[in-house]
Amino acid sequence: MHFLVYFIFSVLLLSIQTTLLPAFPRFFAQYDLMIPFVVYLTLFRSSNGILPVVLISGCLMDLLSGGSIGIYISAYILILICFRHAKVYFHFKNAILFQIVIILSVLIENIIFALVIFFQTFTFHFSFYSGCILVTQLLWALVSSPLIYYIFEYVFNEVDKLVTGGLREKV
Amino acid sequence: MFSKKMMVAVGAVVLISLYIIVFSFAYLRHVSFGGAATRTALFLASPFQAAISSSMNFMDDIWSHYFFLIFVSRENDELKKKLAQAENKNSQCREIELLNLRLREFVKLKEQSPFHLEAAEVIAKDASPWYKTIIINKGMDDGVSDGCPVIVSEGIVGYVLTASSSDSKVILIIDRNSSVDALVQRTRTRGLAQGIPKGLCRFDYALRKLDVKIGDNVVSSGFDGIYPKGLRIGYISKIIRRNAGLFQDVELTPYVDFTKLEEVMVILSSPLEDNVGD
Repeated sequence: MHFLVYFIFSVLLLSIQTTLLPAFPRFFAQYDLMIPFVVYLTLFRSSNGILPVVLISGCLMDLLSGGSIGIYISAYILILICFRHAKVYFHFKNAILFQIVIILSVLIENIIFALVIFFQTFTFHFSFYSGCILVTQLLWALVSSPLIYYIFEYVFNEVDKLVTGGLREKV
Repeated sequence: MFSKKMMVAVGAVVLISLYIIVFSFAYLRHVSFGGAATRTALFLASPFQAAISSSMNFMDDIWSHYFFLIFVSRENDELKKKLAQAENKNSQCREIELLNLRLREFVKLKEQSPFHLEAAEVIAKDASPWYKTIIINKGMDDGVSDGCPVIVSEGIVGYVLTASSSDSKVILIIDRNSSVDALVQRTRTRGLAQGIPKGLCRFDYALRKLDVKIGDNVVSSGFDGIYPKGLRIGYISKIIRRNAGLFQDVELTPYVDFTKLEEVMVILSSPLEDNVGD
């Protein structure tokens, strides 16, 4: 049941960021919304069914995006691996942790993108425009992640209530 | 001496005569005693009339601006609702008008173009700012296949990267992985229009010695096997000629505004292919 909810949620996020967000000026549409979702699943949800959801989400993103196939899957898997293990060292759960991890994840995704582009062209061309995109993404990650955290908390608490009758899913 | 009947008859005749005389000289009122009497009457009555009238206006004012406010407030609410509906309808009409204009351009393009065109709507855009692709709502069921060029009336948009049964992914010419074999219309200088991240194109491999000017129109050459010859790409907006090197650095601004793409045309087949088929 949780898997189904995660899957629907990821499709919803994907639809929002490919249809709704591009309607805004590019400044507001720089941010991969799937990252907070993957990070939230990684840090605050149990392992059951996360990997398939992350794989499917990455696959969908890869198929719909113009980038090389596998770029999003790699980014999400790397985020999952990195922070699944790092979670052991953090025994607290709050929006600040989420915020820091989101910023790091955005950096990871962009590094993967940069590496893929580098291997495609064998030239490293870091323009002012690229710098602006990166900085804007990081700023948006900083600003929006606490809000996204509380939205996810609310939504998944409601989902837990619906699925398990009020018991929170064991992390 | 006179009977009572006689008295009544004479009295009636005198009264009628008096009436006739008075009405016959009615115009005298304006110039004689009548006029003065009227003025006096007006002088006396008008302050009271004005007072009563202003009192009535005051009462009416109080009624309509205070007691009646409750009705006005309701009416205001109703009017606000109606205004909102009208504005909404106006916006829809404006939207339809703009759509109509765009579709008219498309119809014109379809009529003038020698190619078989299929109109499609842009339903999604790439989630990543690093890549420039769009999803359109036409696929293999509509005759769209991989590699079909996509255009609008302003110029080339891109080509179909992957077509599914009902939708297709289109790579835009401003994507870094896209390139169009192009030539400068004025001098026939050949080059490669390649996408760059900031939403423009680079006109690569234009020899330094060749004549290229800012504002020159760049069109597709038709040699890349995707885009038919002569389709508009953009204009040259920046040239850097270095002292060394074979080529000049030329920047190309596409005619198409990719941020406002809503409908596109897919070229299904060229006239040449039709002839081959025949």
